[in-house]
Amino acid sequence: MSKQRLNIIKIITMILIVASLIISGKAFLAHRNYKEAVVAGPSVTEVKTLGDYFAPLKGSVADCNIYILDSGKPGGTIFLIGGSHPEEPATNLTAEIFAENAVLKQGKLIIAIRANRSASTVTRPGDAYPQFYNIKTDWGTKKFRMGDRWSNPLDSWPDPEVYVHYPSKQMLAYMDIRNINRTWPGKKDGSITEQICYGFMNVIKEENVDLFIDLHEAELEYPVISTIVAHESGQNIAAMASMMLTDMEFAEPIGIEFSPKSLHGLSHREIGDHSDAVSLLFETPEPFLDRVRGVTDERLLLEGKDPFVMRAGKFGLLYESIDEDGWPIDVRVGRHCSTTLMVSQIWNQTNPGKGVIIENIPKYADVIDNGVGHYFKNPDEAVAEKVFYE
Amino acid sequence: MKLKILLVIACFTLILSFSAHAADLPEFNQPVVVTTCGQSPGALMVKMISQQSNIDCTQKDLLTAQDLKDNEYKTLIITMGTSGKGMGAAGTNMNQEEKRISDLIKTAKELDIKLIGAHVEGMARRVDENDARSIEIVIPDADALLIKNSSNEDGYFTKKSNELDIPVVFFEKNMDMGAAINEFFQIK
Repeated sequence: MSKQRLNIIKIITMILIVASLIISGKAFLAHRNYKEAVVAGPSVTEVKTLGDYFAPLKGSVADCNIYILDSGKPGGTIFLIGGSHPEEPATNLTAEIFAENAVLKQGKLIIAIRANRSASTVTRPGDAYPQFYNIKTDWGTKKFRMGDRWSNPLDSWPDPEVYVHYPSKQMLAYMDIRNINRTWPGKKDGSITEQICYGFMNVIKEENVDLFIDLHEAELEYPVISTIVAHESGQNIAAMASMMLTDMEFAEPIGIEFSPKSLHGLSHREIGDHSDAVSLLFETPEPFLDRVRGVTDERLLLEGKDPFVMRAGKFGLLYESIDEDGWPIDVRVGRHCSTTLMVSQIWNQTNPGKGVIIENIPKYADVIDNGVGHYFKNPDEAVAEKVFYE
Repeated sequence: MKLKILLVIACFTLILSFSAHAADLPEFNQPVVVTTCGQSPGALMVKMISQQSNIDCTQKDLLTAQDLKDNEYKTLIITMGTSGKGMGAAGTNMNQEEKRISDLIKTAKELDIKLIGAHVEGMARRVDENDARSIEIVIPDADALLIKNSSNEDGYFTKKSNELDIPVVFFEKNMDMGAAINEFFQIK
């Protein structure tokens, strides 16, 4: 090959690489800076940010909104967080339904929709994750950022060889230093993800949170699925809720699991151990997360239908059933809504004087009937002071 | 009128579902202690439901043979089905659970404590080898079985109860569990 021809090939290659970098860079930047509008509901009395509870996070990528819904009537306080793992969309969608619709009749409800904002600014391009997903509403389509399990490496880099959890000193996988559900109860001068948990612990303590709920989704290949994971302090509430929901509301049962005492960094373990709050974690099935899945796109994310996951089920490789109907987002969000409501009702029955009465939230059957999007408000029709951005 | 007929049929169905093999039930007495073979939350559920029925029931997830000797329990309920997270939470494993439950069963027989084997969490606790193992440890020595219908989708417990001639009380929903437990203790 002549030198001149070789140079032409090199130049073309360089142009293609630079063009790819520009196109993908623009896409990454648009995703990172995309803002989701949230219309604060009728009971939202104040919207703070995580930085108000831990100053070093103020204005940073980790500074998520903290919605405070105060009934003005004495009672208990429930703290609900979605978006711990932003690749689990039923979690932030559920939290947003509560923030936009809940009417508090007693006590206080605190909500974080995007608990790990940093992790919502990155996806897994190597796994073909879509950057966004769209939910149909009564007034149009609402667009959401898809995210990842871990904080954005742009915000937390490099990872250590081994992640040593604080304060237990338990050794965990290196990348889990960016996993918000491995960094509880957080560390004041730690990584950004440890600082996020430290900030949330400050919220729990300053707001005297009684009951903490962390929403999640899981792959069907994982044994901890369709369940409530409970700290010792929350086992009775979780058991009663699982029995009631299985009997009265859900087509497929919801179980309960006990939080292992020796596995550290998880919300259901550390919040119960390091604060006065009862801590629970809810899981719904998300076929999108299964390693054996087929085409990884927005459709799979929202419809939860996959022939390869179904086939794995036929071979007995799954811990949850799946058929042609899949696990649609309406079902998953409906389960989280009903589980949160049932847990709060049982909390109220077992903790007189510390009640948190939440109304105007759809139950499982309502979300399936009407669709998730039905419960989102149109930011264009809301007064500007009521609109906040995630 | 149609509604009344439907109601009567539903009541009969409900009663029949509890007492499918209730005629063969031996006599069970209180106080009751419930534990789990595999640290699933089934024991917690049985305790909560039993207490709602005013049955004197204690839950001890790590109950030992010595506990049986030191107390005057009349009935031992062991729930079957395992939880990896539960065993992690309790700091145990399936081998240790097998040893603990085998010792418990042996001591219960020596002390003439009646044993009920219970599977109350559906097929979600019948998915792996540990679940099967916990069932196999408990069933052969049980004086009776308390089984949720959804745990018996494949007819496994029906077959086992026939094979081993163990009376079984089935129930449909969690909220029916109280009435099913009452059957064992002749509570109307």
